Amino acid sequence: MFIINCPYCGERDQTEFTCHGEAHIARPDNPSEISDEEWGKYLFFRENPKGTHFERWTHDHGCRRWFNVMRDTVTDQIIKTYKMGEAKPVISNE
Amino acid sequence: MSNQPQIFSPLTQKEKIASDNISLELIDFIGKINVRLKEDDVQARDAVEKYLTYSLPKSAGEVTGNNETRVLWLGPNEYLLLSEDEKKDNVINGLREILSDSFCAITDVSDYYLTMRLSGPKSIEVLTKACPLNFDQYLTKGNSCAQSYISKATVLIDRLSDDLVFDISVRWSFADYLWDWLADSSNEFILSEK
Repeated sequence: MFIINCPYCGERDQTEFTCHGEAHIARPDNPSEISDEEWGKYLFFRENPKGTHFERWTHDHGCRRWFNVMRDTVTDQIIKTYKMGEAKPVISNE
Repeated sequence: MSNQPQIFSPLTQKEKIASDNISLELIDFIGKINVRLKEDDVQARDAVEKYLTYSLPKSAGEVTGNNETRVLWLGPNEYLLLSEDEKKDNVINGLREILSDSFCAITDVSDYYLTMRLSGPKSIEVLTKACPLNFDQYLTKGNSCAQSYISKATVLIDRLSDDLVFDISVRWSFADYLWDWLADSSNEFILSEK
């Protein structure tokens, strides 16, 4: 069983959660002023790293809150979970 | 033909289970009020606590209450307040009055959820068949609650006391399915008594 640590509820089974793609993507403040290319980049282009990835998840069958997950895409290990609004953790080069 | 709305429960036709190992019964018509406050609004929280005369749950899975009402933790800024069905309108109006200046939401969800009570020494064994919760870690004592799912239905489980008594709240459209599932899963423990 794969356990995810919800920042609000604690350790719960993975099947209670859903992943919603990459985290820390800020909507441009001035959408009417930027080019189509920049807007397209914001809308459609995502990182696809081999290694540490930052994602947004929801605890659907629990508290129904959104939170961020730092996950290794190679090992599937969840390195850290943290609340929305908290700073992006720094990736160590170990 | 009358246009008067009629109160009925989707589970009135179900036969309740009562055995030494496991019991399942319908707990009809409880007032359920969803209360959402801003997480950092201490003033609103204090006002609600003063109104209820006891403190709101502070951490995940906590339940507080007195003889009249009971408050379950649903999220860092969300609570479920249970009261008698007849008294819920008073509670809703009371809360709306004291929170009139706060950013909050008070929603009557009494008819949205249905509650069934599972009890008996085998109740945890029935639940663990299709609920991913670790029952050594969660719902270990009375006055605790947890949200999870049982089979395909999202549920809120409220452990009423240190005895094995669980009130399971489920969206009413799932109630028929969940009742049948629990009844079917309980069957082996009823048969083993005979």
